[in-house]
Amino acid sequence: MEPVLKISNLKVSFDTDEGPARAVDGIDLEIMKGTTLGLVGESGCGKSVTCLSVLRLIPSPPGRITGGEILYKGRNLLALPEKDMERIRGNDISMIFQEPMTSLNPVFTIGEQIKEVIMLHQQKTSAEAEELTVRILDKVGIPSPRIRMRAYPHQMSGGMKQRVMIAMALSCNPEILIADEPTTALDVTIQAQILELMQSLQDESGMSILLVTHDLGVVASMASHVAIMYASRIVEYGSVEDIFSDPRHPYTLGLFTSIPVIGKRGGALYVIPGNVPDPLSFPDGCKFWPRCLFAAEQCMTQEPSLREIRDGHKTACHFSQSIDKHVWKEKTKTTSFLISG
Amino acid sequence: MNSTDNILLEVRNLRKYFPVTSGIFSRVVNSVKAVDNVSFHIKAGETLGLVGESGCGKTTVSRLILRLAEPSGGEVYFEGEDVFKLRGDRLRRFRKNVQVVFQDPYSSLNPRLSIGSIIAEGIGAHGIARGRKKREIVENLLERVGLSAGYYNRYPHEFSGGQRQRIAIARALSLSPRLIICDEPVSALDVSIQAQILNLLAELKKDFNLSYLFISHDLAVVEHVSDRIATMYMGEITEIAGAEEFYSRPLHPYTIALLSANLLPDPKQKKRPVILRGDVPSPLAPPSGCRFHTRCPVAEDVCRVKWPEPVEVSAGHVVRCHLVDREAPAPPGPLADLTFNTA
Ligand SMILES: Nc1ncnc2c1ncn2[C@@H]1O[C@H](COP(=O)(O)OP(=O)(O)O)[C@@H](O)[C@H]1O
Ligand code: SF4
Ligand SMILES: [Mg+2]
Repeated sequence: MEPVLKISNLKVSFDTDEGPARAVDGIDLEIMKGTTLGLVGESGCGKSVTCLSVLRLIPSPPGRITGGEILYKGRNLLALPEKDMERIRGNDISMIFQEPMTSLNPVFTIGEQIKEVIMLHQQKTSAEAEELTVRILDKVGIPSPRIRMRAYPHQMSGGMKQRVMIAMALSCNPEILIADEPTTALDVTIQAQILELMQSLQDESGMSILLVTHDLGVVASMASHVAIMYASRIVEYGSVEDIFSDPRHPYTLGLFTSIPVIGKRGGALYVIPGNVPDPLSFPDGCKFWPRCLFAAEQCMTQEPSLREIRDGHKTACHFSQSIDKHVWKEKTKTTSFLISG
Repeated sequence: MNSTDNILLEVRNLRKYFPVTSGIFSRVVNSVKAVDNVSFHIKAGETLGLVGESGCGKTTVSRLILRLAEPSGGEVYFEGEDVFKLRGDRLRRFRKNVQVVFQDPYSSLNPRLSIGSIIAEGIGAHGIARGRKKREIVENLLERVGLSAGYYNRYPHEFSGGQRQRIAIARALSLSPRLIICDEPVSALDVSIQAQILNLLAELKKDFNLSYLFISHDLAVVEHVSDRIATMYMGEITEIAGAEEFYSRPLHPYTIALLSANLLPDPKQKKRPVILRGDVPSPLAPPSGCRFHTRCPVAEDVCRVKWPEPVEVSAGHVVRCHLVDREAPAPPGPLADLTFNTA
């Protein structure tokens, strides 16, 4: 498998009154062609900033991309002239957001908005673009698209609006779709519809997806690879099978044992002690050490880099070779889904 | 009802219809049945989970029980007393005994009061304690919910979402209630904070012999905390069962769809969820017959015309679905294909 997008040592910081906040602090990521990479982490860990960096949409000021490389088809997106970047957005890489309402313009019909995107990126007459709009709306499961295209965003439900966003994002057949918490604001039965839609569109077009979510169930069912993010860093990366059957980073283990799982009721959940650190004042060494059950001297001074522990499975922990779910279970006495295998 | 059942709260045929008006004379042209014939009970020491998607009527049920909204019909009994008829001292006692914790820890705490005053408010108002004693109680409560007694004079904005939820829990506990209604108490929190609050609620339940009505849209959370679970759809309860049974033998197609849409954090689980078509219909024009029929994958003709009555299929397992109301071994007929297999 070859990566369609390769992020190396990306660093983004935001200038605040109290100094620079390191929102993304040297991350490496790869998205393989035609697959879905799940990016998982709690709010504020840097998932959205990572996504926006790929499209160079970081608001500046206060934001700055301070280092790294994002390779797409052999070109470093961070070094492209803005004019070229405009062609990449929408044509090659598209993005959908958690809140479809804020990304749709309330004063235009949804048909007008999709048509505009098409005409911006493709040589099409107005009539052709309109036909294409109908076809795309139909494809994303909007009933009677010829009628519904005349609707305004506020006349549609959350699920329908997310379908419209997907239609707009896919109108120019991008290679990569970045979906930032696309179903977080939706009810579960609507989430099921949207995930099924994304899956079938991917099966059909072969696009790659960067799927940001905090829902481990969504990742497990959609992704082929997973990256776990904590405090502006990737702490674990691997195939979805490896991450779920053999998690090796203490944060991943903590996260996995802190959520209730259907069919495994009762019992205490693991609680990761303390709080997420402030990007203005990250601890020295491993950013997780103040909350880590395995922290040793070395962890407080030396930041672990993301290293391969076994065939494509990477972690950023000094002790991953000796930490696994059995050790975890012994140490925490928590029961969890992932301890079963 | 058997007195040994120890029923703490009983809700019978509870209804709330919101009038929909039109024109300059505000003529009532329609009504939204936000809560329609809802019945359930909660035993002492028990947690009843109430699950359903946004807008299905969960919060309205809790507001009716708390007497924060006027019901259109039905009754609520607390410790055997008709709640809607309570006045004076008895009403005060009810208000002390039934407390609430809301979803949004930002808007539910008065920003101008110190957290000590927020927690102490009810203790003073109900004449439980004053002066030093009151402060001592509050400090103990702060520590009991995992905060420091030294936070007494701090203000809500100084605290994170999870800490504010602890403050709201301390306030609810301050009156030694018997029942706490938790309305989406962890929905605004990140998973690791959510675990802290869920563990705290479980400990407090044991230590203070509490009962909970636990409302959430998150089935995994509800299943984790509840002894029994009820699902709601468009103002109606669609199914109630013990938590084990709810998971291992769900019977209502909506429950089955909800269970299957709740994706397991397990990549080996390759079962596709039951996909419900379309959206929840407008409450202004609820479907005829069973309200779920427009989205139900196994609906038959009868579902479109006849309103299903709740049926008790086994002790304590109540289902509102025509397909279950049959003399057939469960799960009957077409439901068998849908059944969410736990194996
Ligand atoms: N426009 C902005 N100005 C200042 N700080 C920002 C801005 N956008 C994001 N941040 C900060 O960057 C960090 C990462 O945020 P984000 O990527 O949004 O997290 P996530 O998407 O994982 O929830 C956070 O500390 C956040 O406060
Ligand atoms: S490097 Fe040290 S502190 Fe960091 S996760 Fe590993 S053991 Fe814990
Ligand atoms: Mg985000």
